[in-house]
Amino acid sequence: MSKHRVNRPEDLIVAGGGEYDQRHYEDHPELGTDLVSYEHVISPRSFELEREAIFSRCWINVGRDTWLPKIGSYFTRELEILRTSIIVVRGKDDKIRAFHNVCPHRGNKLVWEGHPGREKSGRCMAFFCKYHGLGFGLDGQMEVLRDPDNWFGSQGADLHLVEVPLESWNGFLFANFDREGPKQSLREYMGEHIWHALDDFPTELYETHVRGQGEINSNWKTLHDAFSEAWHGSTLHSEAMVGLRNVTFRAPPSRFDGPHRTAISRGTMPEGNFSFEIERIAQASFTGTQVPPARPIDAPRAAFPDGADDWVNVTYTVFPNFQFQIYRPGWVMTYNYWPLAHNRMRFEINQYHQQPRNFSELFALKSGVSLVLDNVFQDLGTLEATQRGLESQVYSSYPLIDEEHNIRHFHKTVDEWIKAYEAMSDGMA
Amino acid sequence: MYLPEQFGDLEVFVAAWDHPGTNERYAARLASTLPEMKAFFDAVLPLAEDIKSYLNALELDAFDEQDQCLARLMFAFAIVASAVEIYRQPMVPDSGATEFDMVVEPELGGK
Repeated sequence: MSKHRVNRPEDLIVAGGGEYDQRHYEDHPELGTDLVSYEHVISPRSFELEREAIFSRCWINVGRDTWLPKIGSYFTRELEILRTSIIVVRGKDDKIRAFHNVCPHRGNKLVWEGHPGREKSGRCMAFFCKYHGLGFGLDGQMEVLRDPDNWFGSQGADLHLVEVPLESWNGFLFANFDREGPKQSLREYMGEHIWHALDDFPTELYETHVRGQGEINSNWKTLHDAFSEAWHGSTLHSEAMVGLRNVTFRAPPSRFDGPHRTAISRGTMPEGNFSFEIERIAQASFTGTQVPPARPIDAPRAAFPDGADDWVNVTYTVFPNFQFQIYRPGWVMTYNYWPLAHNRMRFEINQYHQQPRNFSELFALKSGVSLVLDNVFQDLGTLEATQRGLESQVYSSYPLIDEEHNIRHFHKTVDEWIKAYEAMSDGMA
Repeated sequence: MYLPEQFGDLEVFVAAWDHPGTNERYAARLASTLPEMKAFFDAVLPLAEDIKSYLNALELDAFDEQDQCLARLMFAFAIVASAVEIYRQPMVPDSGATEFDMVVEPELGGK
């Protein structure tokens, strides 16, 4: 295989980095090079299978501990794919727990406001059901039983919320919905490499929280695919990301740890190389690594054990639907892909920034949010177009290029988990 | 007077562009025309460095109401900038199927 000339240094802003003669399919022969079926992106049956085979068995990220600053702080999460809602709360013992958000008396959703499908957050010392006023403590135990003489035996006094196993990955909270209990701890599920990947990150990274979400008529895996390759940037986002125009993007090889993966970006970032007035005023580039209210951080050790002067970004993808990205200027962005139906999803972005110290830093942060919004509108708009095209079934399979090896790995993983589930179900039948 | 006196030239833009958060600012962008956004952008641009210097001299949690209004205009400036400088229209091209909202964001003083 010939050497590939990557980007010229003068137009390299964010890119694969340097010249190399590696091809991903040679590194990962197990991924193959065949055309790939997208049947599981358009099939209602696959959606049902993913509920049982994947989302009921994997550890699922549901938030972060910094969203719960005080005893009694809580938030609810709607998990349509699992047909449930959970409450995540910091208890009086400072421990964070998750409970199914359902009153055990007659099944009413316990914590909600306005519309039962809407999420809620706040702070309280007990959860009271809106229906008959039963109260449950932050540990899920019965605290206030109404009309205690009217219950049969201990049926009322014994009521309690159903706890959901919850574990933390450097503050990121993962729940497990396996009805028989988790088959593995979160650490075993992630593997040692991913488990330790964030260990050296300073807590200052998480001081300021930004969150956005939206729904789109697309399968959840299609958005995962969009954000698992960067080469669409030089076409789809070429108007804003001037530095990516005409760049042939070649990403360095990803590292696969079972169903999870680590992807890195390397490149140089010429200072002061701005294309628009807003970039100059915000002192933030639209191309890839915007937003520096920021004290740059060292190259993450797990991804760059020998250090790196040219690192730009590291993305950890925790199967099935969570991505954690850290950017060199010292900020973090996470994505959650929430399936709602085979052709509808909710997309959630969380950003974490160091606390802005002055107006310029806050302005850079806000400009970055504005840029992310523009790009998300562009990405999500394209998704519905992709879903429509796939549903036409004009083609039965698709050629993923070498650059798209992350997507190949992801779809292979989805298929493997579904096959394993079906084999287990067949065995039981 | 909604703004610090030295930035009084921007008073005429307060009614249209002073909004409490990103969602409202983005909605104002989508509801406006390119000439309206360009007029606002062109008015803020030459003052932007002075505004930053003025606000940088203050503690973020010590902004008075006029300072906060000025800061919010700058955040609106950031929202309309791409529409004016890049897309030449309010909406990002081909984003007609998209809905997306900010749920948590720092405003003045951070969070």
